Amino acid sequence: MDHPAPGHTQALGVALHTGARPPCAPDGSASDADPTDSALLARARAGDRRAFADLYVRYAGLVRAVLLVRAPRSDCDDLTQDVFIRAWQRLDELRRDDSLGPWLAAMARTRARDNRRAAARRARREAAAGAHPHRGPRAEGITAAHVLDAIRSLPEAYRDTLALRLIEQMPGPLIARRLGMTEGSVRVNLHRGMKLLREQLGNDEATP
Amino acid sequence: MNPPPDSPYLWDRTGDPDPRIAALERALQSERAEPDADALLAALPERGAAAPRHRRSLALPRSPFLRVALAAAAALALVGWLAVRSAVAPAWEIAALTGEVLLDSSSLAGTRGWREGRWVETPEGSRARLTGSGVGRVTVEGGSRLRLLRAKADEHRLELARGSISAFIYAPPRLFFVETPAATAIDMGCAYDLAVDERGDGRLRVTAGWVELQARPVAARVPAGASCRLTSGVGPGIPVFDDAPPSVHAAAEALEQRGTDAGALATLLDAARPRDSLTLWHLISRTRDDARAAVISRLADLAPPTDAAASAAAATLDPAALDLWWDDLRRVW
Repeated sequence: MDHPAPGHTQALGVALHTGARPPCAPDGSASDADPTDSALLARARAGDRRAFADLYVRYAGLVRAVLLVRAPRSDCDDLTQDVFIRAWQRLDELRRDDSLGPWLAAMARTRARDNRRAAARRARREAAAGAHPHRGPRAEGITAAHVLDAIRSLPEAYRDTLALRLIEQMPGPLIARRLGMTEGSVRVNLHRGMKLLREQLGNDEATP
Repeated sequence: MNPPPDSPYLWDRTGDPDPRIAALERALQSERAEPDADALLAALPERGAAAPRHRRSLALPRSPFLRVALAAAAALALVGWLAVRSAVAPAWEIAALTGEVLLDSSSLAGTRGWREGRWVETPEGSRARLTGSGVGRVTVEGGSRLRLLRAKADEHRLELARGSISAFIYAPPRLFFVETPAATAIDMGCAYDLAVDERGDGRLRVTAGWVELQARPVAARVPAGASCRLTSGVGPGIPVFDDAPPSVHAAAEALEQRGTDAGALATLLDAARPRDSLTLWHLISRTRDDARAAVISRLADLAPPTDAAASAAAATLDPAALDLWWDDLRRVW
């Protein structure tokens, strides 16, 4: 699990959900006391399921955020688990340990694409039944559903950076490391993406 | 690329919170991941097991008697299936379509099982059909010699020593392999023609899906509509779409043979269409320095990556960046 910048401790509860201590330092990197990604990967490749579960806790936020801006919310928990099960089975295909984040993100994008057709069918059924695809708490007149819909409507290049920044509340440098991008690219994507997002939400008359 | 000015809060959550961004964060607070490691551990299969396509809950009967009966029935069915499977059919069958077909130098009559280690030969003018249960069909043309190396649930592997085959595979990706003297063809869900001559050189032409060619450390990915030469002792060449301009074909062949050829590279970069991004993508890892930079620049012009940083990362042969760009290119084709 990735953690936000110092001073934002609410994310710690996420890791505590599993009963484990947070596996990362607040900036998302492994602290001196925590095993590095490479150490966990080495153990996982040797069959250590608990080590892989630690990586899951560390990277689930990344994968779920990438999925959330491409797939229906109701599917994202299952899809996140699917991605990690596939990753577990394909660990030997990961050629560079420092590419774990980009590798998982790529798998999440592929899984979201695979899911698109099934999701469309389900959405039609839900629409026919009058069901709302997803609801969330309202904050200053805007719901998570509105924001997610708006992010999904943006060019693909901006979705992941915005999702990681706004949903997982990662700082820019950590987003760059997780997605395998340069900090300059992330900074540009955040700036332009946020501008477009505000315009989009403004068009929806729901600007916060 | 100069980073635009923006609030520090947007970049790294330092400084005074931007109220508009903070409002979005609060709205999305409920969407943050809550990973349950125990649930994942319970769902993790054994390493190497096939990934489940769908996970569904199985409603078991409440009655203990019914549960025991259900378990016993399942065990009986499993034992029966294993007995039938081991006693009856090998995974592969071979049938002569025309002419005389040889199975381990003996003439084949009718349809026979094809087991691991056995050679099939089709003299000129004859043809054979191989059928792999749950795998697919392979038509063997005349003048071919091949054998079955492995037929297991997780891997079906043939060796094509010479000749030509047409494969139609419906097994899951990475389950069907054909070894040739130059490279191994890995099925990714596809149909293809594969030919190998007496020297061990050959050609792969894909008609549906795509095939990965491996001859460490060289690899190539060949999608439908494209072909790739195979050279014994070297590996796979540079895939080119069959409908590419003749100048692209000629330049790719020159680069395969000579490694570096500035004239051929310039011709290829000039003549390449967006669809020829297939060829350019493969050239990234087969060029160096200025040549690689020129390839990446042209590729970015023809088919820019979704992630703007991918082209820079690709220059260092970052596997994840190359994969991301590959995914983008598949939408161009």
